Amino acid sequence: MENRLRVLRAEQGWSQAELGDRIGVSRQAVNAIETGKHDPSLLLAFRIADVFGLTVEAVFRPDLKTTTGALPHD
Amino acid sequence: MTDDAAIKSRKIRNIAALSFAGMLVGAAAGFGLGRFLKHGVPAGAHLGWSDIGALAISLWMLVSGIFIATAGSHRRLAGRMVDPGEPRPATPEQMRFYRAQAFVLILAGLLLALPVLAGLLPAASTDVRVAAMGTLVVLFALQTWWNIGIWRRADEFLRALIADTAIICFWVLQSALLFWAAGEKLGLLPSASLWDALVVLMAVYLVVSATQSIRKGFT
Repeated sequence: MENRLRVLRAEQGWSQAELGDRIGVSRQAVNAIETGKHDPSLLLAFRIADVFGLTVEAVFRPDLKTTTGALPHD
Repeated sequence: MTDDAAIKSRKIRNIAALSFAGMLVGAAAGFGLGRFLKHGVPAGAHLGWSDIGALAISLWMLVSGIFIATAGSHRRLAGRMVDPGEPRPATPEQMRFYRAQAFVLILAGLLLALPVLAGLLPAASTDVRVAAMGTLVVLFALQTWWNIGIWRRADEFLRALIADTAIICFWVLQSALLFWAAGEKLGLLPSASLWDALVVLMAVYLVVSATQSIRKGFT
């Protein structure tokens, strides 16, 4: 999943740890989301969008090159 | 110097200081283990490769546990572990979390060392062995209780890290078990004891856990 977290955080002047405090996760979790190493749960994605006053779609975009691993269907 | 460059430089300094401290403590611990293996083992007692491996892993866990417990009891030191780039005093919840991790590591170290050390006691009687086993059960119950506490307090990123580590370990170890068991059945490989298998399991778990932590940025 692609995201604009680093840019949005910089605009607010927050460190990773400060953003982590606001959304209830560790600094490492924020870093992993920013660098694309961890896809947040739906609940956390909503919490992140809320803290910036945006919609989830304005923060996250699916990376369409990666597959979801779903079984093929008709 | 820009903010990013200053944070990067602080991170490098912190990592260098931690690495240096780790090397000193590791050298002292390794020297201690070496002395014990040379002079502390009673005559007639035999330590196999898995026993030495268990003691080495146990020592590593004890040293790491004591290190984290020490850092976890000082707000500023704990703050550096939370965020080496921008240290600020850790919150009481973060300190509790580090102390829980330290306690679990220390208990794991004791669990691994206890059977080896109890087996070394001269003419260990059945009573001593039963007492060691009883202690093991109590330590394991305590460790499980604290592990559940860590899981409950962890955020989703740490839980994902723990789950990924468990999945990788399962596939690596069950594959190794399949091939070793098949090789042994066919008379191509020597037989291994359950204790040997447990020590390999712990070593693989630690390597996978450390690798995953670095890959995912949990440092």
